[in-house]
Amino acid sequence: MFMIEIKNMTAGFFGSSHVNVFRGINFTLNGEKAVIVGPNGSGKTAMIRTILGMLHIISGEIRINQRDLTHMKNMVEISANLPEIYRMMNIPAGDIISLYAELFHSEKHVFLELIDEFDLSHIIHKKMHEMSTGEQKMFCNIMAMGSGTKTILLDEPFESIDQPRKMKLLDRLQYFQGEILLNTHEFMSVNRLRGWSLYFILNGNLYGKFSTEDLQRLYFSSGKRENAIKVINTGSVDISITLDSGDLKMSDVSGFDMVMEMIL
Amino acid sequence: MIGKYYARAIITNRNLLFWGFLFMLFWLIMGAFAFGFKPATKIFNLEYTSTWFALIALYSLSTIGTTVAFSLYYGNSAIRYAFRYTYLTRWNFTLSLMFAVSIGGILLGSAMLALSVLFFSLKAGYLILPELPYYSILVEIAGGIIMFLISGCLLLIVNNHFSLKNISFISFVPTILSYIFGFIILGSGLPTWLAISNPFTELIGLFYYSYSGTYPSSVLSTGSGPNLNPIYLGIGLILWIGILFILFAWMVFGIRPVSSEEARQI
Repeated sequence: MFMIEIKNMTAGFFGSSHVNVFRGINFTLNGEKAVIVGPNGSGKTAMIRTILGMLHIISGEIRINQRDLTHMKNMVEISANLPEIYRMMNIPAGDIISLYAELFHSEKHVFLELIDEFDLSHIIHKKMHEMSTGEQKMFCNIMAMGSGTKTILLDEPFESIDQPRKMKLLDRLQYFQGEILLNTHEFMSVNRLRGWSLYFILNGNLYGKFSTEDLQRLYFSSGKRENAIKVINTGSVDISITLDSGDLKMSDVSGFDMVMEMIL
Repeated sequence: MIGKYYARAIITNRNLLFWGFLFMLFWLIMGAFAFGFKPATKIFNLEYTSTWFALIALYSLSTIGTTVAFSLYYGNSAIRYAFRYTYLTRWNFTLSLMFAVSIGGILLGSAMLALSVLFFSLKAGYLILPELPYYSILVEIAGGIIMFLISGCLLLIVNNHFSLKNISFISFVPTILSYIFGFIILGSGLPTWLAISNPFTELIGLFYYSYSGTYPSSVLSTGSGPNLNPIYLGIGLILWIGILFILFAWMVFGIRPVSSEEARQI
């Protein structure tokens, strides 16, 4: 079983060790699909960037299949949808696909089939900076899904994607044969995921784990409640996560901004 | 092999085509027709053409270094990711880039050779052909590689340890050094030990030798200094390539993923 373990990790930007993106995070992805929900700036992308080696680990550790990330090389097990990892050269999408198919030792036709499936054949001759925001996001999702790795890390995969493609992507991810770590600020998409582990992230702190199966029963409530399963500290106030009763039903929430507006 | 993608990106790069080809084309025209080239004996014409070719080929190849340096800087996150999570190794990456810049070196160097033959022959009224054209291809390959390795190592030092605000200056260092050493060896000359121990004058000397078939002098414009032995120049260049190759491959694995925004001056 493939496993990503984050142990008591504090990370920051290279060259700016005084800026910690998050502190003391613990997380394990072990043969499952997990979704992390949090508002913008909560540390979702930073977590994925740290696993990919893009942020500086100040303390703690990340172990991938029992191996320390800092000494790891050529572990062809993880792909992601961050655009910067596909910007090795300023070349068209078709060439990026050929290049990464070689680097992953994967099949080029798998990427091309996904391009067709998501009706994106017109981007093949475009460079990444020539694509629209949605095209670029979908292209990076395809690069992650087509690489053939066991684990994919998806940062806001639904952002700027039109509804039909979003639905198709959700189906793809639901039936993906492998592990997924997905982060998003939208609750609406999370409602369609079945059997995924669910976490919340706020101010660089991770809260979980729950299950997407429980979304219909989970509620947000203001303050510290006696029946709280978990209490989220927003920095200024506390939000309790409660079961079967509370101020705001999770499945009715569109995003964290709505939680803040309605509860606070 | 990712070298073919880099090669294609290099040879279709508009900046490289302008600074490495069109700008040098302009100087070759000036050298042949505007800067007082007065054809005399065949030996004089050959040496004059060889000097121009040697300097222009060096300046042209130095633009490859700048191009590749910028490519590394914009791709730092992708390179770091690829070493960890794909089959790309530091040796494969370094050799692929060396392959790509070799192609760039051959194309730019051969273009400069052909244009030198054309313009100086037109002015002289007869064909001034290079004596060792195949040898010049080897020097073009070595030139592309050394310019990339110098730029790459400087860029990695800055990228990994200092502020990226220095990046624009650093990427032009090989070009600046090419001009400095080029003008010095042309006009006032260099001590022999220095001429045979730095890659810029080694390239000039070897380019000169490939065109003229004679040993270059340490003062090219007058031919008055001691001659530079191409064997020593070649050995020096190979040593530089070997040392910088290892240094580059060692540093590139630790490439720091930083945002290109860090390089903004204002």
